[in-house]
Amino acid sequence: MTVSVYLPLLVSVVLAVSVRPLAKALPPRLGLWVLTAAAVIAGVGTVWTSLLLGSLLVDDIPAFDAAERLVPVDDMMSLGAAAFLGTGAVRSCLAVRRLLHTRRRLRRLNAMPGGELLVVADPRPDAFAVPGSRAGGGRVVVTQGMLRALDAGQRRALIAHERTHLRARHSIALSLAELAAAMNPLLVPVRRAVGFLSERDADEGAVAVAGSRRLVAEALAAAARARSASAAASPLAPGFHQFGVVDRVSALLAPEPVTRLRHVWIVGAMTLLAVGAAFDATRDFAWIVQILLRH
Amino acid sequence: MARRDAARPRRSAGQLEGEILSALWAADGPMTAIEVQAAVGDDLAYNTVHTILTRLHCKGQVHRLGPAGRSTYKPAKGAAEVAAEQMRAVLDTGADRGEILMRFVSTLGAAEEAALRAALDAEGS
Ligand SMILES: [Zn+2]
Repeated sequence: MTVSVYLPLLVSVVLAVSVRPLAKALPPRLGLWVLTAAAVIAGVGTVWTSLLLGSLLVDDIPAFDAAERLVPVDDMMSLGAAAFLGTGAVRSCLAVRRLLHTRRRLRRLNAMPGGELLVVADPRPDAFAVPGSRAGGGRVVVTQGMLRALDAGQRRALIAHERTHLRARHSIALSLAELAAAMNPLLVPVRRAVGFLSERDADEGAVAVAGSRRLVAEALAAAARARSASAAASPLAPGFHQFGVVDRVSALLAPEPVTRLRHVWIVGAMTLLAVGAAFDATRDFAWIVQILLRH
Repeated sequence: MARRDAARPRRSAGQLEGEILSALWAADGPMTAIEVQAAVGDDLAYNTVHTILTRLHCKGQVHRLGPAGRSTYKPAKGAAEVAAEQMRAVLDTGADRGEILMRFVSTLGAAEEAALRAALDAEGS
């Protein structure tokens, strides 16, 4: 095999290392879908090339004698690829099961009577968007505790934020990124970045409705403080986040939006590289198989 | 982005319904339509507020009390209590950890709290 077979893995590593600064500079709406596509392609590409490497464990010696262009694959490499595939398969099964389980539970919340806004009689401040099964569906779920912690303008921002999640169908991007990260654990930071960009996109949606960046920033701060105060008093699971509220508030209050289209091209180029390499590796593999069959 | 700040776009019916319902839920007791109009805290016309309250009443999300013309409104609680159980069931599955559930904000650590204050103050003065 040539170096191509390792390139999807390399692209995954580069994505994982560079995704944090990238995510902060990407335009949210476009960026979240570009990163999701990159994660899916890098994930599938790595699985595919690992499959090629793993199957060379069977018999590769005569083939490599015949094809000088191709560098033989060390059996350790093949074993590593097989182990990687195994972990990825187990993680993917678990992720799919978790996703389906969550969707089933969420469907019950979706089936509750009422309008798009579902208020929950719970004093702990919390709010989230529950995706529906079709475009324009889904619910905005907010606890009474959250509504009481915010003023009118902040409630407007909160509702507009959650409605943006639903209309932009962020849950699809998040589910895809989650699956890609399950197949290839190197992509876990990319999944987090997709989550961050979804939040950024929803924040911008809230700005468009509420009419003020500062108001949305203050709504985030008020909600986060209320949640933290409540978490201190009760065993509310703290969110572990690579990107937090602070990054979103900073992005809202930055004098100039720092989104750069150039970064979209960088991610696009890495993705194309992974695709091209996977094709190249497949062609090499087909050749090896052909030679093996001739012997 | 000053351009966006100047012009406030018209809000959709779904957004307005949410705002009015959430104002009723945030209040301590029943409210008249005029009180709701004030609590939504914006340039909403009284007629719009009244229309949406009527719609929410028809859908069973809001109870109307007292005679027509001087009615007060309060949110219907039944569904909200069932929803609370459902929500706990969802959160118990760990749905919020895989980021599938898009939560508005996470909790803050002490360092984040300080950074948040600094970010808001730097701009606000
Ligand atoms: Zn959100």
